[in-house]
Amino acid sequence: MAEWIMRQLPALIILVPFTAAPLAYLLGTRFGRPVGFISALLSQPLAVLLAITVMREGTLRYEVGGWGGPLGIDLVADGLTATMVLVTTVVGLFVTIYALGYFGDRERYRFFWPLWLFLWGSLLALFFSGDIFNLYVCLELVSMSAVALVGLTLRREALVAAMRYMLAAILGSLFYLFGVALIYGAFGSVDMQTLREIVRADTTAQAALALMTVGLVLKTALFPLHFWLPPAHSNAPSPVSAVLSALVVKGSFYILVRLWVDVAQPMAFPGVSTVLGILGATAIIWGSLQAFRQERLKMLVAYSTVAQIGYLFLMFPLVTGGGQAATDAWMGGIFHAVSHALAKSAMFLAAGLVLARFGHDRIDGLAGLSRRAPMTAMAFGLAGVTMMGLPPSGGFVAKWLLIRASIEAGQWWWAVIVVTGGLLAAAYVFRVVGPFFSREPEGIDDLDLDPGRSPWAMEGATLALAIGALLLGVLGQPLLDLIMVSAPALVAGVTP
Amino acid sequence: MTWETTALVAGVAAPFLTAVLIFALGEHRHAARSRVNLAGAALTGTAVLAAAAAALAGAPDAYPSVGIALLDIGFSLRADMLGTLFAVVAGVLWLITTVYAIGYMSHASDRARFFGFFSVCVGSAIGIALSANLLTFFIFYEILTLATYPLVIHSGTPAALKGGRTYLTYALPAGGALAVGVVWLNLIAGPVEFTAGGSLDPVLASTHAGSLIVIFALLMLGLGVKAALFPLHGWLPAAMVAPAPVSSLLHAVAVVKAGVFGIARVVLEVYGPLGRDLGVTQVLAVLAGFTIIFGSVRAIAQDDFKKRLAFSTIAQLSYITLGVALASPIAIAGGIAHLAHHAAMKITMFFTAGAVAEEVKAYRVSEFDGLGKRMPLTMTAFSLAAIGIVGVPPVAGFTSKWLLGVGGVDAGAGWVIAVLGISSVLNAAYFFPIIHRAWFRTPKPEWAHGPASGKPEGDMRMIVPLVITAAIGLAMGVFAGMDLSPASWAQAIAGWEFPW
Amino acid sequence: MVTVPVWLALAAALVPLLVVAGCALPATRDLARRMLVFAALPALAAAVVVPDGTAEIDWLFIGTFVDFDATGRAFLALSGVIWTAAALYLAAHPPDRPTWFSGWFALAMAGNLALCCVTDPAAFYTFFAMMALPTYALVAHEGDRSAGRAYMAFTVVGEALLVCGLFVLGATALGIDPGPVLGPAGIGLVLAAFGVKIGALGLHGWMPVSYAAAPTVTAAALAGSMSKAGVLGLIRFLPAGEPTGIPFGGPVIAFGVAAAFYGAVVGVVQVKPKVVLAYSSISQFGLITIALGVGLAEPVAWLFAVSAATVYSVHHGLAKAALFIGEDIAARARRRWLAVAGLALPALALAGAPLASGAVAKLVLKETTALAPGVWHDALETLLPLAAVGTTLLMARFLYLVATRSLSEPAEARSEAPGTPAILSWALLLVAVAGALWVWPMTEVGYAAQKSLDAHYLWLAAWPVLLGVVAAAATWAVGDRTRRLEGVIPPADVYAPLLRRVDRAVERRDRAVRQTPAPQAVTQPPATMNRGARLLDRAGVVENGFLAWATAASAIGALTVLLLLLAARG
Repeated sequence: MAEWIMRQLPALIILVPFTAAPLAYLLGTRFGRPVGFISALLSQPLAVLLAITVMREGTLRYEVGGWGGPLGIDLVADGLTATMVLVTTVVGLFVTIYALGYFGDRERYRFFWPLWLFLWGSLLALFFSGDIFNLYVCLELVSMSAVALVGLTLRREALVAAMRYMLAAILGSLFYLFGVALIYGAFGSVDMQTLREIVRADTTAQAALALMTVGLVLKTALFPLHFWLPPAHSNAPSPVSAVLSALVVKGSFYILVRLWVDVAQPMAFPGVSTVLGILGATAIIWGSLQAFRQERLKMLVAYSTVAQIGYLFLMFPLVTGGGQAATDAWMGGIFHAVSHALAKSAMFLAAGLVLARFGHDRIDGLAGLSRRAPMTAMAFGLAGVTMMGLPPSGGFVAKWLLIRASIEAGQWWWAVIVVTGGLLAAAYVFRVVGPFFSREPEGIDDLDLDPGRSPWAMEGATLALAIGALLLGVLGQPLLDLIMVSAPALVAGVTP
Repeated sequence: MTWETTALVAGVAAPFLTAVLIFALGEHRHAARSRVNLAGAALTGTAVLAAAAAALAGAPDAYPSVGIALLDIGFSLRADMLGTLFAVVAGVLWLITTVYAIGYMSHASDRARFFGFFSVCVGSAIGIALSANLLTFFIFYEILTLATYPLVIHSGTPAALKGGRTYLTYALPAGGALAVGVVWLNLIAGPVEFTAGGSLDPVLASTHAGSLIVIFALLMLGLGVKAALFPLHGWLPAAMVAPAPVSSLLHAVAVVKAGVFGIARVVLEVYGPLGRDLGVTQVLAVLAGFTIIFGSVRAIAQDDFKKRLAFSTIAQLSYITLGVALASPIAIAGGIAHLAHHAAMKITMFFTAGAVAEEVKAYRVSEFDGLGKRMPLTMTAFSLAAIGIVGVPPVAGFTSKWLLGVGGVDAGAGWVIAVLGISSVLNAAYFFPIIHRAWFRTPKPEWAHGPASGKPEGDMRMIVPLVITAAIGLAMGVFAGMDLSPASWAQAIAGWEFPW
Repeated sequence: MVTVPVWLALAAALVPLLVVAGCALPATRDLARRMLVFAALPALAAAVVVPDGTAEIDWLFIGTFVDFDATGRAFLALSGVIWTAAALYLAAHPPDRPTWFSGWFALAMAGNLALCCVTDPAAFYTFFAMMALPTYALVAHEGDRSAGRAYMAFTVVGEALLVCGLFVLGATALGIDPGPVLGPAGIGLVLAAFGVKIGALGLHGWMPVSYAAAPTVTAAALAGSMSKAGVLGLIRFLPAGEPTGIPFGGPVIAFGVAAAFYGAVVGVVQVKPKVVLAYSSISQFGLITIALGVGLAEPVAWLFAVSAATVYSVHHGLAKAALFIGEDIAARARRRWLAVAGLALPALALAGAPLASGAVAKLVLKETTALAPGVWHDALETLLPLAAVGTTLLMARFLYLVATRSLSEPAEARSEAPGTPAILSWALLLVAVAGALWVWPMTEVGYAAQKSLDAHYLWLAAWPVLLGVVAAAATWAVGDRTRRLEGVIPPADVYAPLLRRVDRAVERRDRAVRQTPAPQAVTQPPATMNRGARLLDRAGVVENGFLAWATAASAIGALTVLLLLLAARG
């Protein structure tokens, strides 16, 4: 039995949300919530089990319908996949708990549960996909459900933002699809396992790779292609914003990593990694500056995402050299994706609580928050620690690794960027957190200490995510080991 | 888990758990919070004392340690002589400060926040003390940096927020520099365990001289801010907007000493002899010497009592740095002993500042005329501590100064003696006037007949702690020769730190 | 026969600390003040019964060495007598806030007695500080802030110099070689530091003002005992002979000689009796300095120098204390001539008249100066008698001032008649002055005492005094014309302007501080922030550009082209 489950794991994990989604739709709002909650709960042990199994036995391969590639659909789970699945599941759980309270059973949010569960499933599927065409399909599913969720409130700005998001997403997908087509033309296969062996440097394929990269960069909202992200993430309902910033952007990033570091590595061509690195660095500086000058909390958090995405891309210039630097960069990049997922979702959820409590999220209106909503303030502050990359947060471990990698690779300037980025993050985090403690304007003490306190479950979920991100710093070693399980040759220390 | 490792973990964990409980209890359950806080502090105190005993038993080469894997360096704690000295200072003084703080804050708001973050700070200070390697040290160091912020700006006034900003503008970049330095060092030298006599392979001096010098600079940049080393001292006077207990335990003991303690770790237990071969410790010593003079001179001009104390702290911290940076076991002993001695004396003074501010609303030295009549116990304690800082025996300050001076001769650094002599005069110049005002000037009419008849001179929860700390400061000097006195403890450490 | 442990000396010396504690507690105040008179007696007893020897008390301070020898014994006995006499006088004529005064008094007493029993630098410094700093309260007690400031300033600087010097000696004691520079520097620092305490020429600025401002008991204790601690310090920490060929001896002798005469010259023109006594002290310490200088110059002379310095300190301490106490008694006494007559004894003794302790002390001093190197030998032969002449003049001046005080000082200042304990204390001192050196258990003293009775030496001792008396009588006879010289030199002589300037500066600062309002809590944000804000706004404008579709599209295009180009190249 256990053996069987072990073998079925990939399928089971995807099936849970994919079955829950239509159920939630059919049963309507009242039963949608329990369905979502149950599926979220069910996913936890499975994800953990997957992680453990991968840890023990290395890559898992599951052939849907037993055909096996190149024709059939393969679900593949290596260390990277297991990691992403795990973080998606954990974040998903807390967002779900939060959403239970956030949306209540108001009719107009009827579609949240099906959409969210569908998005969840497609993300997991994306991480499991064994071929680049499935990747496209999942990416598309993810984007569409995400767009729908952004527009969920039907508020005008939300719809505008959703539209903008959709166009960007479609454009990105097209680029990617075009690339996939070219690759198939060149090598006659989309199965990553096969491609690994046969790909070679060849102009068409490389052009294809270039196009796919552009598309994915657009979907990941890397500077200067971040134009769609701030409005989308800040106008969506907070649980949705959390999911978008924490997980969805990581989906396309995941594909980029798969291609450049893993599958298409043999035909990787010089220069691109540097370009991506420079764009990432610019994103860090620029995004932080923009975050600093925002007036609204959710906008600030959204721009913080723009900045944090930059760190992910510092990985590319650092892995190309191989060796220890590559290993550190790889671990650092992925680990940053993980800790950022936890912290950023916490931040958006906290912002949501503020909105729900005070009806606005103007930063200058947050004075004295630490006494009026201590848990929320605490959650935001702790999440901020990860943004700054200070110990003991996961962000610290990630930055530690990135700095180490850049010194090893002899590219010290990335280290400078990382440190500077941390300081800028501190600037915009404390711009928010400072006023939490303020007594200005006078008489704020007399204000009602909690106007309609928010349900502890929501605050608890938010705080839990923040604390999780914080503890990753000291308890992160197992995760680092998981990331390294059957890692691509380039970064596994095996010099190509 | 043996009792040693248990004590080790308990010493660090207890304050953090206390913090969690305090946050959980919320704002309004004052009695419960006080009980939890005192219990936590007591537990911490016992734990660190036990850890010290364990260190003594294991010294010098079988120190108990415990840890988990992290970034191929490890997140690990160790009970060694140097670390437990600092841990005991922080832990024991925390217990005393808690009593004081409960009295001091008895009318303040946001007490849950205050005491919660206070516990976090103490926890990280003890963590810093018991860290076995630079990574662990750095982690606790930065937690301390962050956890101090809410305390600095506790009052929430614009001035406080400004002070907090200043604090961060110094502390956060320093953290960055420290991070880079630590990463780099671990790259060159592999995982760096703190080891008496230095853990770096002497070969590195020839192979990586340049990088090692830069790394040392980075580390000192990171640690120097908390150690208030010139020119990184600017935040300390600004941070005086914090409530008295914060200035007392954190800005006289835990936070600032975390900086100098880190310097001690790096200079003695990481670089060891390399420091001198590379010529970096000499530079550090000169910088410390300058800071001593600078801080003392600046202190004279301050009329704001707490500011004067702050500048005095700046100067005194550099005594420790100076001692550690001098190539002499005696000087090292002096520096390390001063870690404990200055703690007891300076915390007494800040306690005084708080008690005086609460009781008679006097904040400036010029308002102290005849205060000795109004608050005799308080000002007696203060005067003891003050003459101790000046270096008047038999108060502990003299003991460390003596070791430093003799060590200076031992290290063949005559200028150190000059610095000590000049600073003694300067210290007298900024502390004796306070004593003079308090005792030898005619008091205001309402003070002339002492505290209101039948009433104590102030809230006893504030007076008793500062009397105790003053007594400790005196005892540490009078009984310096005893086996377990900080001075003897420090001399034992120096013996192992300086085999070269 | 039970042997007395050596550490008992230190224990006995610290008994006064009990009085300090007693004064601190309200309940025991009166008892403590009554006990003050007996506080120094245990130390006196210890000086008699405790045998020579050393004992280590390793837990005290950084480890303390009690080292009891003839020198320490002598100084302990001297201090014991002086402090007891002072305490007696205090009992008779307590100043205002007596408990407060007694506390500081006992603390200084404890320090002074204890430092006679220890030889290791740290412990000696500890007790030296325990004596010197509390004395501030005793000096400034009658509210002369300026004099107190002068005393404190010199003391603090002296302490600093001393600790610096002792660092070197402490290191040497641990077997560390301080090297060719630090070694001599240490000696120099120690010389300077104790020089402050004994009012050596150039470092004497505090002495006249403090003696003049302090209550009588303070002056007596200071002049009689506490300043002698400086001599003991020099004896304890100066090396026999010169280290590493730095010639300390000559200069020190020169300073001594200069002080001996400078004190006399400046002293005779003073108008306050206490100030005259202060300058006499400066001159007398000059003589002691000469002895130690000879010891420094000639290692063989060191032991002589030590005993000379010791004996002379005892003699001068007792005499000077007697003079101070007597001066005050004379001021109170109804029958002043009796008091003046009594004062004549210590005055003559100080001048070195035959049959008095001075004669003996001077002979012991001669033993040393006879060993002086080269030119100094003959020079001192002639100079010492002249110094004695100077001293005689000073004493004459002093007696004259006391006798004619009513002209200079209103009588009601100290109206209260001298109480019995006061008389007792004076009597004790006078007896000590007269007898101490005749019964002194030191062979060289006994020998000198014998010799001083020899006709030749009687004359040697007598003629300078006679000469001085004649000169004094002559000036008195001349009368008015010399009156013009009175007070031409202010008490602090060369330091007077400096002290005055400091006083003014301090007053100005106090006024300034009193006027400045409390600092404003809120401060304006610096202008740079505004510039930063403007830059941020500009950044915002640019960002809006990025958010526009057109820009986005072109950015996408640009990136595509770039990557494709790279692909083509690769």
